[in-house]
Amino acid sequence: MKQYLNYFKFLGITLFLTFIIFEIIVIGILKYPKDTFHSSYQSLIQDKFRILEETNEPKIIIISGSSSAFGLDQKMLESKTGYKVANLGLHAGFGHLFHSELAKANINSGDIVLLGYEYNWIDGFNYINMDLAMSAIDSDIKMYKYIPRDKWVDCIGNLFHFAEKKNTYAGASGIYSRDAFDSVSGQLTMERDCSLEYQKENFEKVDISNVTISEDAVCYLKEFKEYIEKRGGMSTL
Amino acid sequence: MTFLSFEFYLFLPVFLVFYFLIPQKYRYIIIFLGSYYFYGFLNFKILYVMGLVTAISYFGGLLIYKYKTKKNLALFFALDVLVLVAFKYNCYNLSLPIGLSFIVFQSCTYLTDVYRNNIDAERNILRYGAFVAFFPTVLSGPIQKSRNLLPQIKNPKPFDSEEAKKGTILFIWGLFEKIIISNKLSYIVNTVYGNYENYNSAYYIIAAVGFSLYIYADFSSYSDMARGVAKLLGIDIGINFKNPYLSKSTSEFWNRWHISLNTWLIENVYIPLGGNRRGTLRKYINMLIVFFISGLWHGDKWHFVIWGVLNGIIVIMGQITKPLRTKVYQTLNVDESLQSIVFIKQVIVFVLITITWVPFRNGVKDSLYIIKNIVLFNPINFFDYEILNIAGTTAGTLILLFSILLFCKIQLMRQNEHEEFVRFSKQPMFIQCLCMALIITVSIFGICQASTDTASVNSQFMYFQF
Repeated sequence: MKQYLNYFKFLGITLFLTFIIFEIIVIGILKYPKDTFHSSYQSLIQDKFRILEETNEPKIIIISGSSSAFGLDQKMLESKTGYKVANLGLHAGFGHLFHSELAKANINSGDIVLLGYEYNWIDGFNYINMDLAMSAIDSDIKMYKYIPRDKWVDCIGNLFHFAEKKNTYAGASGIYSRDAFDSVSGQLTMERDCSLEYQKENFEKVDISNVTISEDAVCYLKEFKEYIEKRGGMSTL
Repeated sequence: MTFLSFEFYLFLPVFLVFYFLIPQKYRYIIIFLGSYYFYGFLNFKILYVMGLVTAISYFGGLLIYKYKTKKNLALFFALDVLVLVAFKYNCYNLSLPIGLSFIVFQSCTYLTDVYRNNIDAERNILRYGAFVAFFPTVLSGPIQKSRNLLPQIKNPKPFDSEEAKKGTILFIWGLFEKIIISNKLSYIVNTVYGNYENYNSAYYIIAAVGFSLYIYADFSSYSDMARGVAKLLGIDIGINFKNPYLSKSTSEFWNRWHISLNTWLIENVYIPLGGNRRGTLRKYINMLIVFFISGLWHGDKWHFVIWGVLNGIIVIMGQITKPLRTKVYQTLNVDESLQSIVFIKQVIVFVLITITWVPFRNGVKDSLYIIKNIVLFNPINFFDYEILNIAGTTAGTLILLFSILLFCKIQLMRQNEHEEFVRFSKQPMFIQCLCMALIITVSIFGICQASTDTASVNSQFMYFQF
């Protein structure tokens, strides 16, 4: 018995120290220095997420790319529908899984979830751009729990790259920065220098006549719909 | 299942609980069941092949024990090898079960051990099955001699915390070797060799040296992990490498590299062919045959055969020129055992072995092109800052270099493994655990990183394919 105890003591202390060292490194890199990417466009997700969390009355939750961040007048939508709006629309590069999982933080009875997925999202359903997602969440550790468990390995794997990026980040300004948006409502407030002019020759033709949705996407959407309905909300794609 | 798969870390604790819970004399049953579960985890069909090899050598052993004739030995030996040939050389379009070469060679050692009276025939088929399928070594060796492993399975030792601790340290070190050294080096090697037309001689040299270190780290890591797991069970399976790159001659290299296979070839091929008892010329021919078979054992491609024969020629040349070299040293009045001379010899052996690894890794045509460019290398090619990004990023390259230095330092210390272990064990428990915890943490980050970045390499060990 003494032999077993000796070994378990060695193994137990080793595993405990591994856990402590691992935690210190992970939390250390995520937390310090704090809010490095605060000025970045992607970190606006923190404000948007806070709005979602704090809005407990029936609301419209928008999951989308930057077209919803720049092109949607939330106040107008609220006054016309009588619903509050939690607009999670931001960087399409996150991958829709990121937005969708974040939305799960506060879906309640009477909520309407608008799934404004972009065409090119359809096949890469099981994808999160970890580099972008981590710089968006930054040191707001509680948001990490909405990253699906099967992506945690990627998250840890990207940790040192994240640290490298933290070390060299120079800050952001202009329309693609957090300052362009109101931190309380998440609404775009900065005047845009110019409006985009549609020039046909600058855009590739997108053929949507033969679009298929991957099995992964179908499976996830079904599960997500069930989740929303279980929480008393409704969804529309 | 492999030592790097998630399932293994669930399997091992459960296995150990059952193993130590039941009486010592029945522990072979747990080894048998555990080994079959481990081996057939991903594809249970390969258990049929395992069963076939076990049955051939089990009944062969009984017959050879009763009627000790060369004919019986040759028959069952050939039957065992035939199974390997059928799968390995794709005779019937069958896919090769992982580690089959190791399994067949291990069961062959049993037949010769019984024939040579080194061991009695094992009557208990489950116990014999546990020997053939012994899960720590089943995928990549070290190839076990039945006279070493079977008695340990038959009479297992009681749990010894020091041995278990030693096993745990070996396993953790093996993990580090695989994740941090082998996988990262494999990225460099695959990048350069996989696209060699786009690189120059500087990259070829780095890739060649990288491959030398990679194959050593990869294989040695598996052997260390296997030894570690076996030690947890109280079983000693012996070492497979003795710092081969410290060899002063190519003959010495082959006594330090993949020891279990080379011992097998000496016992089962070289000595039966007459060894060095039939004159010098015959000795060299026998050596060449052994190296030829060693090449063939690795696969049915010509580049493996060339690798084997090339090594044979180098070793024979080394032996032929030895008297001449000794005379030169005497004439120049230089002591061969001087540190500087030893170092020069080690460098020469490393360069020769590194060159021979090129055809081991690449096809014949590619190898000729790469070797030609290495021999006629252009020094100016090294003045290229891009080389610093060869591991993906500059930081990655520097970290890898640091890790390789650490790896070499530890491997050097391991020349006196037992003494180093005693020295380590005398340190305060907290320091011992902290060292292990740091290595585990670095390995965990390495595993996670491999799943995301370009250095992604699967959890397979190189020697699984043989």
